[in-house]
Amino acid sequence: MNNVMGLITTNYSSEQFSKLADIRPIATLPIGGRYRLVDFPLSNLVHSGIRTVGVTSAYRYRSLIDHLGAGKEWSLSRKDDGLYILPGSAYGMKRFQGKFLLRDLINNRPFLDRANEDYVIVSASNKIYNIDFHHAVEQHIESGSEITMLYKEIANANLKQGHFLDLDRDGSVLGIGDTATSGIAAWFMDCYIINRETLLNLMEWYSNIDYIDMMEIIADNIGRLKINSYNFNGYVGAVDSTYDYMQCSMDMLDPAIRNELFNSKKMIFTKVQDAPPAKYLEGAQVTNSIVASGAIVEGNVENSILSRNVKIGKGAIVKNCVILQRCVIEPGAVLENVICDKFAYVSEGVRLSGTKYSPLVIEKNQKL
Amino acid sequence: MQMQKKECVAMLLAGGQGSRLGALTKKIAKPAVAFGGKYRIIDFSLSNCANSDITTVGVLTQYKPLLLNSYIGTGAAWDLDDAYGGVFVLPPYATESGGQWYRGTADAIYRNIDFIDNYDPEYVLILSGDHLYKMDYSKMLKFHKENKADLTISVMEVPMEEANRFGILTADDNNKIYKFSEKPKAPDSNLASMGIYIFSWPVLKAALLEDGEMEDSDHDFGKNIIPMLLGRGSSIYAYTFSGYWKDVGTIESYYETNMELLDPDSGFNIFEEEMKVYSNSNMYPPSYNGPEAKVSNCLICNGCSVLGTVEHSILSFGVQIEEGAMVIDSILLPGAVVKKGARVERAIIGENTVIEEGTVFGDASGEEIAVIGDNDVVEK
Repeated sequence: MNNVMGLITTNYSSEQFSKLADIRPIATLPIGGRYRLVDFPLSNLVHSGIRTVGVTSAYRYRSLIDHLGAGKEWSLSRKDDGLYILPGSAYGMKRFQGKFLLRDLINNRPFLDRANEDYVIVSASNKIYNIDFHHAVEQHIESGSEITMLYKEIANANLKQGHFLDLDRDGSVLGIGDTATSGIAAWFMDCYIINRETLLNLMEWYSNIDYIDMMEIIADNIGRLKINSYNFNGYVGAVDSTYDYMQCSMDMLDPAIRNELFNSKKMIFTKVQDAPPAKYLEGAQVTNSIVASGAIVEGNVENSILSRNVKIGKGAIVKNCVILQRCVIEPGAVLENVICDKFAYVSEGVRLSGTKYSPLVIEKNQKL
Repeated sequence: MQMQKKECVAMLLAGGQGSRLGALTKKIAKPAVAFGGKYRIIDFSLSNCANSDITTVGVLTQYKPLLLNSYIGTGAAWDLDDAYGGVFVLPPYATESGGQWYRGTADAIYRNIDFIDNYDPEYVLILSGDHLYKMDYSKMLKFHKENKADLTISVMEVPMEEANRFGILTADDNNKIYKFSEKPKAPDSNLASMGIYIFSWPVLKAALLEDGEMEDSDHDFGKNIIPMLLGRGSSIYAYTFSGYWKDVGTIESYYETNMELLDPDSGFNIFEEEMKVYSNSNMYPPSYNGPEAKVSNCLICNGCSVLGTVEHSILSFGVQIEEGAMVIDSILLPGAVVKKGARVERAIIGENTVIEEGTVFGDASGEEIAVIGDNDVVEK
């Protein structure tokens, strides 16, 4: 795969995350107890043998830079190639439309110009899956396509957001839409393989209207360019809203999904924090839950995700919740269907509840 | 090699077998033995160095060093991959006159005089890679400098009735040591040596050069070097350390020290943020507790999956406890698996060892701690 480079985009936001994505890009939303969303595309690229990865930075990129650093944990801190942070272009602005802003690519053109690789895997950072890109790249090269769009065939397409592909029998892309035309649909994984030359040409041709998104450009070139598709059979979790976030978190409690996502041969890498092991005190009751290191648990936890260094006090009840790093749930507090953002503090005896479809979000640093 | 002068270089003795740890050190050196779930014993001294601003550490290896070498790597896990220093693994090596194993603790340093001289240090800190404690060596170094000492020995107060088990130092009111007795029958002091020394380098170098030529010497710090300096009236001071410190020499003390991590009153706290203990962590996902899991009074690392019952135990990273399995009062080292319905009681299970379905290993009511080494299988 030394002929393939990666490009991850993080410069977009969404209003469907309540406060979770207000303070950080979606890419650095913590998930699964110790990860951030961007760990998934980044680890996938690295596991596929890719050694050059650019990440376009987002509005409020502090958490992104803090998390990625020089790319050491992903083996991307190198003398040649490795991790490149590419400044996002919409300075001070949050973008809600599209995940692949053309201007971000144009402004970082030297990164693509100077590369030696013939192919670029471009991925957004709000879908989680564990993939080896080898097959998709092989298919892309063999088919002689200029673009290969990755998708997953899903049954409940009406419940999903994003783009859907209209394909012919051979898998060529005939159209791209933002609603599914039928129940079963080809759901775009926000990831495509493109010939570097094609990408550079498109950047040139559309440079006068650089505020548009690569998805619009690809749609505009159906028929002109050879656009193929690749069907991925594995699990794909989408994080496009608070509801999705909760759903994806709960998916991780499913043994089959967990084993696939956190496959020991293709581990998801993340920033290491050297927290001590999780501590369960006398009286702790923790079932069907994920517990990260550094957590100290004395209460009851069910169907939940506990991130690093959280404290669950004696007699506290935490059910169907996602508790992010360093939250403190004091003794006797009761939480159901709640997402506690980092450093939240829930005092003794406080009762909080959301619903499965509309989880209650406790903001970062909030004290209740 | 680009060298920069260092005020203090640490030399970490990590060559010992730790033969009294039996099955646990069959394939690895004692400092590499897993401890407290996510650590290996050497993590504590390396983290202490990192937390004390000591960035040049020589690690003296000899006995089965493979795991130790790969674990230490560049030292990056402890933030010791310093541009002008770092961690250096120093095994015995051959010279024009042949090669030889390290003959003793002092000999290991004697044969690396060139390494130390490269950094032209004022002081050399001698550490053991198999002690469990958290200590800021910079405070000890400050004490050493204030006393203008030739040698400072870190000591801790032990109960008088146990003093006969230790190397005991007797000091005057100014902490100046005038007597050293190894396991004295009638101790006159309760200051036990912790095997942590700061030497002024010229003094140590001269002593090593002299000792290295002596045929009847054991080339040991405690037996030879310290008595030699004491006999010559060198200025040797006792630095009293009051925190938690353990040398896990035996299976029993290894077991007890692990279990003390579960005891909030033991004084051994790995949860405090100050003087953090670093380790070369694996990228495991967080642990998972199944729908029927029962876990209480435990330490559980990332990568574990608990579907059965675990009480008063330590599960290292990647341990699997299957449905209906029961683990009580035990320490499971990385990658151990307890299959369906099996029972593990008062036991230490080696790395990647499998306890097969329906078997029983150990006895919670017994005196003995059941031990099985790495990569083994317990079958019916």
